[in-house]
Amino acid sequence: MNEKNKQLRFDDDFVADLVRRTDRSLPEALDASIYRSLRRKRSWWVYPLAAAASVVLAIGIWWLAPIGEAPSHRVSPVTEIRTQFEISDKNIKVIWVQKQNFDPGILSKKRDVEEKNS
Amino acid sequence: MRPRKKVKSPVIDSETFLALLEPLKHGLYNFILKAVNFSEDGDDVYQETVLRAFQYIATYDPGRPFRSWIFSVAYNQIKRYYSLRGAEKDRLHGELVERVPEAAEDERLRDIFEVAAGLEPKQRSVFFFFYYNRFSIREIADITGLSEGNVKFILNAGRNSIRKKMEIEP
Repeated sequence: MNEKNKQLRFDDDFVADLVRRTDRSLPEALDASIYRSLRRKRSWWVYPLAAAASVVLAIGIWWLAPIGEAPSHRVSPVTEIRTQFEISDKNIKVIWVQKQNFDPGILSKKRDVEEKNS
Repeated sequence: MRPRKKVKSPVIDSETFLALLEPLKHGLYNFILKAVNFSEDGDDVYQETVLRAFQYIATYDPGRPFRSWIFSVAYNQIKRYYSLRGAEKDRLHGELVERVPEAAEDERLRDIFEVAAGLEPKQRSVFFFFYYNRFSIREIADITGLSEGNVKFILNAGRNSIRKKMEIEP
């Protein structure tokens, strides 16, 4: 065998052919396991993107939700409460006016003005 | 060497990655087996290589062949494997015929794998990049980050060892 080798010239292709004789098949179980792992994995950017999208969606729903609501009847703030009653046989009419910033000085002023005018 | 212009990698999903890997699987698996001396850990190293490649797919430069990129991931994974295990622990130590039964039938094959097993892990990877995967010197330099001169030196040293072992005339 050694004599035979001495006659051969060193050849890279010859070495490459020999090396290839030791090839093995990729085990199916190994391939399937890798395939399953890769299918489970997601690219790194998916989770932050999904989180950001969820936040944007939540804000959008909160902002746009009033559009879907029925128009509410707005109640004006009460500025005064007016109470009046009459004593017809005496020909008296009494009007009580309670304003938001109740100030009895205003009624007194009016009475004084009426007395002055009369 | 002129620095390569970096191109932003498009987003590659698992289906696309598997499609790119499919034609390279056999060569990648067998390269790793040979580079780790047919260790029983070969399957694990292959699995780690593929999963790590997908994990870092965003670093793939589309201006570069995918084949070179994934084999560089394999090269680094093998380096990592030996840095954790220690190169001395996997020198075959007479287990060649058990791990490579074909070597029992062919003395020349046994000589080649004994030479390869005696190399440092980095040199053994270069050896099989050239003789098994048939990468060019330039491609091997690109994959490993070694200079072309260094790659040629490693291959010449390997040739000389095989020649000596087989007692072939230079």
